[in-house]
Amino acid sequence: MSQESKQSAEQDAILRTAIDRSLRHPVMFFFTSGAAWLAVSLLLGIIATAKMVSPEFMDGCAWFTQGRVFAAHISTLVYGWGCQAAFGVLIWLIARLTRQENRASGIILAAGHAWNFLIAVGTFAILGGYGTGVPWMEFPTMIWPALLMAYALIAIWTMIQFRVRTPGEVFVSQWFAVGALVWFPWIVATAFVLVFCVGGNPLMSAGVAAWFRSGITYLFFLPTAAAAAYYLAPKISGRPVHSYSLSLIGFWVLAVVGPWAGMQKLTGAPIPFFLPYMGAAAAVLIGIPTIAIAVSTLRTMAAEPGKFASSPALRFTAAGVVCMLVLGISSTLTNLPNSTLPLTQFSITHYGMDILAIYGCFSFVMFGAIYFIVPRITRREWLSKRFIKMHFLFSMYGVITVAVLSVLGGVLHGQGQEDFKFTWDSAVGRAYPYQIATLIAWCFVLFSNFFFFMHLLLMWMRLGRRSSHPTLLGHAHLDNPHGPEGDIDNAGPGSVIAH
Amino acid sequence: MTLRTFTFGMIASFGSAWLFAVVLPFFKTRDIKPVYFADGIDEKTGVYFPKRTGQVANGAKVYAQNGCYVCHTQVVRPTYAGNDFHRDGWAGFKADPDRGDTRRESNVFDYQDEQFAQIGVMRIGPDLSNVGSRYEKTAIALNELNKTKLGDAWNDAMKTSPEALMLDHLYNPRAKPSMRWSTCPSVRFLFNEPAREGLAPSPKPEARALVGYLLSMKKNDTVPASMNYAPPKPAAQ
Repeated sequence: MSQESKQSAEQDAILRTAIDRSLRHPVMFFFTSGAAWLAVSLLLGIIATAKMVSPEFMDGCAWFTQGRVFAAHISTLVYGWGCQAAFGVLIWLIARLTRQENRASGIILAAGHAWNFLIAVGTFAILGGYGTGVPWMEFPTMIWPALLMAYALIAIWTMIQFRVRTPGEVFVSQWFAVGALVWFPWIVATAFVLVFCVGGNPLMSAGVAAWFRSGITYLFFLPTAAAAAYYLAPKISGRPVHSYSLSLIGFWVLAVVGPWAGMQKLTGAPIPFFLPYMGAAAAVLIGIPTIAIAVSTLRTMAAEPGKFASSPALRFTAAGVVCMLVLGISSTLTNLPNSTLPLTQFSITHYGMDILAIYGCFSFVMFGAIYFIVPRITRREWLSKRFIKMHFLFSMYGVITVAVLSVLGGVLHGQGQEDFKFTWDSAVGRAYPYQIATLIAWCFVLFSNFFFFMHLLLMWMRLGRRSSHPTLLGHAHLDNPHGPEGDIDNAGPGSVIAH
Repeated sequence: MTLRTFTFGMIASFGSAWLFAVVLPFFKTRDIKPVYFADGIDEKTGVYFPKRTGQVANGAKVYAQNGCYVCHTQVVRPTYAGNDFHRDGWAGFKADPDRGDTRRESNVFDYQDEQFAQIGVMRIGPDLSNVGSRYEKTAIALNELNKTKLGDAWNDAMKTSPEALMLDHLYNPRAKPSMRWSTCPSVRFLFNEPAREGLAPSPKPEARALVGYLLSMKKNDTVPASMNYAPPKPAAQ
């Protein structure tokens, strides 16, 4: 190795350490409080599902009536866990990819606290009976402008970093990350203004709310997952991204098709006819970008097949990308007008798809990213590979059960609804066994996330292992499967080249 | 890809959908144009002016706050989008004693006086767009039954009303043996517990508003043929 490259490698390592240190507190705060909200959301999900299985459970208790608990379950899942995990990953990714320290970590941390406070107020308001009744936007009206302001304080520094970066090529991972950061406030602000501020036709308000749900799923959670997957796959496998043009197709088809989806949930309602059909067409076409993203990231990872077994980050990411593929294909298959759309429009498929998107595709990639990022910013290694394995296996079992059974069971449920020759209770009865399965699966997922949360908390308290070897699931390798950048240089910045 | 291409692409791709699928349709549908009965086709003349009575705004709020929309929908889809039309009582009645086939799909006027149309998320429970008419029909049938059963002992004070039936259902959705399968949660917290054993629980104002809202959901008016994709055939003479 020549003197010059040694120098630059050393400077690189110092820069990476500086970036990680500048973001340590905000990112760890987002991850840890996100994981706590995930546990709250799962608990509420268990209560909601238990009440669907056995309505006598906690019956007649105003705070835990079925509709309120379900709304609180989804809201905490989306805004408490989903958004916070995404913020943590996105600000770290952009800082690393633009090679700049973050100079506003104090403000981001304060805004993160405000975000958590608002979610807590909103959740209590929903349970206390002050929800707005707009699906996914149940937090009281005045919460939304405050949430948007907190978001602006969190994201603006990242956008500035992206703007003032050294000019040059924009990486694949950055397209998706910046896309998510731009689409999120655009969608939330539009839906907030149109649904709550401007009095409109009640049906179009419902249409905008449906568009909002789809937008958050496909233009915030999905691109965030893609951004993390496009960063982690080449980083861990040490190979370049497979097929640049496929990634390009994935991004632009998502950008063009994604914003039209959503209103297929209002098929048959008296709104302009083209809206639900455009929505259905877009929801069917969502299959294309997910396949493109999944194929190019999975093939990047598969270039080094041995690393699946050892790297927890890669294992979670790969599972999330597979869920993304399943999500895209299910979206195509369940939104065909005149064939499957009438069956899935109002059946439990709806819930299954939401869970598949948020817990399956998005969260798994986020877990992968968290297992990768946290050792770097805390400069400690994960304590226990058994905790990680438990987290993976129970989460995987849970999400397969919830999502796959709800999606498939939802089609049968929908067939029961359509079969008007039988009484209504037979249609309801068709969904019942799947709800029992969902209940059991949520218990498994909660169990797995208990380990995840504890593990994360210990890491934030810097009680992790002081080691320069990453936590691997298999037997220790002599060569580091995370590549040279995977080393945690606990001997101090720049020690990478020492060994 | 350069930053300029990227920014332009982002604005063009999202902006066009945002404008044409969300913002423009939203403002174009703000004011609904009145629909007229056509001479010679419809029995009535003049403008179609549906009336909706009851505590619609207050009741809709209670409905929203308690998350009824998670399991109940409020839309009768046309037959191209689903079979809601054929479910007994959802779209109207197939053989109404006075008017024959009264079934029709949802129209834009069905949601008037509401801030947000509760189209709904899932159908764990039945669709509610015509629940008011269903309860009225049940109340009439129940009164007829009791009248024949009791004979001379019957007096009009024993009459049950749709409101009373609805309140019973909200208090305990599984009270009737035929409804044991229901997984609908009870909204007992909207009632004052009876002061003494044996007395019926009295509904709070929220429960009354909710009942008023639910009973206002009816599809029992005649709509202009131009809005009705399955115009009712005149009742057989």
